Amino acid sequence: MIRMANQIAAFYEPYTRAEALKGIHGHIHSFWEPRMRKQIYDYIDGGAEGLSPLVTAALSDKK
Amino acid sequence: MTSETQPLTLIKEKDFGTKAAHAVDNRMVTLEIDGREVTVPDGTSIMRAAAELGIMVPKLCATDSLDPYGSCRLCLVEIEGRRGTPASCTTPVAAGIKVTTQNDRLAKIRKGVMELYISDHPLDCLTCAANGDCELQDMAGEVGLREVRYGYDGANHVFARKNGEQNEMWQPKDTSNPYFQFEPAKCIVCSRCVRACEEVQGTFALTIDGRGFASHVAAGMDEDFLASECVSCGACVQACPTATLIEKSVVDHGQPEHSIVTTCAYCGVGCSFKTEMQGERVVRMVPYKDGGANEGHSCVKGRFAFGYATHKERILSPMIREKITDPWREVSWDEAIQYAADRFKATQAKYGKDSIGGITSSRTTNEEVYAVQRMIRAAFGNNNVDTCARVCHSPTGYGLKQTFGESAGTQDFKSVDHSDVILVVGANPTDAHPVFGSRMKKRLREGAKLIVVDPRRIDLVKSPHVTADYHLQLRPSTNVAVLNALSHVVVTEGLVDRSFINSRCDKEDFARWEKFISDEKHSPEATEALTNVPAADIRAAARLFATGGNGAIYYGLGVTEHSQGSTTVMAIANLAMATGNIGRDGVGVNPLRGQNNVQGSCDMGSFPHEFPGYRHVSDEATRHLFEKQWGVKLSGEPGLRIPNMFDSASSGTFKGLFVHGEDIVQSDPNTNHVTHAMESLEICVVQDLFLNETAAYAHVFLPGTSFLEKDGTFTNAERRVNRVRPVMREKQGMAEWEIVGRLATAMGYPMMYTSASAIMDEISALTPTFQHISFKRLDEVGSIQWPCNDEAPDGTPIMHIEEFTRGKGRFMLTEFVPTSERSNRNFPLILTTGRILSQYNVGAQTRRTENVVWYDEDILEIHASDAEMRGIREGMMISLTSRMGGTTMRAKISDRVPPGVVHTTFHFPMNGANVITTENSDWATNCPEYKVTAVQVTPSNRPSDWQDEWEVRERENKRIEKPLVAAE
Ligand code: SF4
Ligand code: SF4
Ligand code: SF4
Ligand code: FES
Repeated sequence: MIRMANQIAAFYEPYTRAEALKGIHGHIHSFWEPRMRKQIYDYIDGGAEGLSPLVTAALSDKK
Repeated sequence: MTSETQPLTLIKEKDFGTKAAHAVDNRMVTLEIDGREVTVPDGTSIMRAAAELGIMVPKLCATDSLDPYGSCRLCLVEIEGRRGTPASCTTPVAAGIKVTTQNDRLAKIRKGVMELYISDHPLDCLTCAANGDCELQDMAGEVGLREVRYGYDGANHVFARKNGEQNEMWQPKDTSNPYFQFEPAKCIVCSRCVRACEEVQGTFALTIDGRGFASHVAAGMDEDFLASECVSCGACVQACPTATLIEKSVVDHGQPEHSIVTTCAYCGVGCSFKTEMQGERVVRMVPYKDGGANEGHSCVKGRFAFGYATHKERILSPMIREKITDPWREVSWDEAIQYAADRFKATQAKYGKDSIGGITSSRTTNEEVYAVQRMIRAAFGNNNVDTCARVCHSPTGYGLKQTFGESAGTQDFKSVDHSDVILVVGANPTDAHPVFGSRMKKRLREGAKLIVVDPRRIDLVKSPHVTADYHLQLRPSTNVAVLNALSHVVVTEGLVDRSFINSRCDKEDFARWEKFISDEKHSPEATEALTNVPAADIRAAARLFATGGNGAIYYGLGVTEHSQGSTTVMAIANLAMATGNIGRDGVGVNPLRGQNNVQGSCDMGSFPHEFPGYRHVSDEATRHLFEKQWGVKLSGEPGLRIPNMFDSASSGTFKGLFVHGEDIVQSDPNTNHVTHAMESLEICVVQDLFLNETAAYAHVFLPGTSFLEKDGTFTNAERRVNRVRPVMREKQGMAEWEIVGRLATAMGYPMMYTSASAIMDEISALTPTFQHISFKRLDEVGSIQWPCNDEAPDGTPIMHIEEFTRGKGRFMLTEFVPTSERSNRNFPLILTTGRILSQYNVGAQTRRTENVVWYDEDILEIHASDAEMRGIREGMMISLTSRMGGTTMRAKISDRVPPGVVHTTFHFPMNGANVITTENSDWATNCPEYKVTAVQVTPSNRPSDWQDEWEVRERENKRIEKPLVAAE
């Protein structure tokens, strides 16, 4: 899961930060099942180790 | 079963003798034939013009699938004011000429010609397999041949012995091919077979050997057919006017009496066939000339490999068992369905609504897929539905939707006839999409240029009369880098099609992409070390593609099955837009789909985040539409994808699975992870033809139908919706959509359809791109390419003509991100996987046909230098290991793969090629990275642990209490 999130972040790397955050957030909310979303949010709450800072930032706003 | 009222007949397509002419500027010519006036396109043969009038000039060497040859001299005519008797097949029409096709002089010449033919042909018509379907017989009848004045005492090809001695001219029957035979004694040397092999199939396996009376047809270097290069497409058999080349099934059973048109169930080309029948027995499959996708051609799978439908291992009775270690018990339909429903409901009661889900199949019809996804969304009450397309083409849907706005290829197959430069990326059309491959080769022989991007030297790179101009033999997993480099050259060398960009694409996105791609780091020189492709080749290939005329891109699983699959698809779309190659004949971006109904299963709402027609489940308006139709509240949250299902099963939150027509245990990557997940399920229901690998983990088995029993539609890679028509009753007694409907009903959600046609009506009512598609329309027009709606009432062969579906085309930034799967000291080689012509995917069908004579196990291709280093010789058993597991198979030394790369297929379960592939996947869609696994190869003499386990499981988990009831 961490790897998948980081892969998404890597794709959005060349975009501007605002677009990247929106893109990552949108992608995870459109394609990830609620169980997986909860897992990643929990993971961020637990310290987000190894997770791309872009992902953490993208998912910081709301659940 | 079908309730069609039309009486059955044997469809006989009219043979116009020569191909339809395409005149320059549509110039038409008027002439007179036998006193009747006719107007035809300039360039039409006199023979064809006569046939348009209904006047069928006798002929033997001409047929309308081939170029005319003019050798038999039977089709002679007279033209007023011209001398002699020209052959009507090779003589084009001219304005105002007056043609006579029959008079005493012509009749006499024709009789003489026939007399000569028959004097070197056996007279055993009554017992001949072609009796009733022989053009030589017909012509003898038409010219009124009554006697043959020459005996058989002289030189002939007919008898094994002549005057008591061996006849050197005579050759024995060749029965080496499992599906057809060759009996030279009956050959009239018309060379139709030779021309079919060249012109239609493009294999060049046949020649006419010798001269004059000694000339004869030879396969390969005068070998038998099986040993020659012949790929058993059957084009020669179809073209042969006599019994010389004939299907063995016709020899065995006799001539068919009726036929029904249907669609091949193997690959995404979607060829149309006439199923020629005697009662409910299929005598042979003959490709249908009116088939939009194939226009009368086929490959070995569709034409010949249908025997699996009646294979004795097919299961015809529903079965249940408590635990997967119990033997199977045959029960009634009602009991099996109720049992499955009860266990699904119990699982939901215990673990929650979202603890179950299902997988749709890319091999079943649109109607069946639609029924399954409705059952899951409406009866299961969640969106845990996914499809095996996940593991092959999901990045296509994602990438093309992002850039163009529609999840589908842009062209019809015919479009390639207008291409000038063809770019093939990670696809092997001659093996995986043979009929389209033949069409592409034909265009290449006519002079189109070819660029191949593939780590392996596929057949297209070098085959008879076709050579790639550039083969960019990249290191596996560097597709994005190579495509970026191609685009870099296009942009920095000023080859961008500005007018296309200005009128068709989003300018801001383009400007940003232009800046991104111009960066030196994307240049061919900068990426050479990474990709292994010489920079000069990339530059030359990019120039050729950008400036060579119509440029078309075809790609396959070599693009999608990577961690950057979706990015690669976008990079392809970028390149096509930058060079202005979208929106007309001869160009476009074309995914070559694996299974027959990949496109259809995606269209029909098989993805956990999309309703039919690619509309997101969170979209209120769409959801309400479906809620209203289905009378139930639907979830707006995306469901689990296949890999997520396995993960959740392993971690204990996913407990029930319905698997329709797919062998996920054999075909999904990292078999060990998958089997562990399967073992944690409390209820698994498999609906399939055979007890496959997945069924070893199932509690309920619901027998399915073969395509020969189905009523419905398939949608091929060009978005063409084709009818599948039942030619016999369901062997297990129930249509598959009905099984699904009953299961949903047993779970408390009534879902009873009256027919497949009613399901299609519901689809078209709810899906804008299918608005005007119905069985009735399809039966009238043959096939329709979606979108088919008010704007495009007859369908859409080519998409994005005036504008993109999303409005302006969108350039996406496609940064190359190396895969985490890299070779190292322990696993120094990169394994890629693929497929071969005679076998199909997991092989459940083809393995159960005579196709095994060409390929009966998975083989590892390895470069000579890698083999030598390891002491591996041709044919040796080797062990293949990755971080994930190991298996053994036989090695083949091959220079098709470069040093450092090995290649195998995954058609046979006991070789377990997926035991070694990893669970790496595409970032956007989770499409597994089949194409890149770091491995080691060593000589071996014993099966791997996994194979031992497999053998035990094969025995244990597939036990049935009652003896198997054979299918026939
Ligand atoms: S079956 Fe096909 S490949 Fe083989 S000889 Fe005939 S035309 Fe050629
Ligand atoms: S095998 Fe059939 S098609 Fe070929 S040359 Fe002989 S008669 Fe003609
Ligand atoms: S090319 Fe594909 S669809 Fe056509 S006959 Fe072969 S397997 Fe069937
Ligand atoms: S059909 Fe015209 S020469 Fe044979």
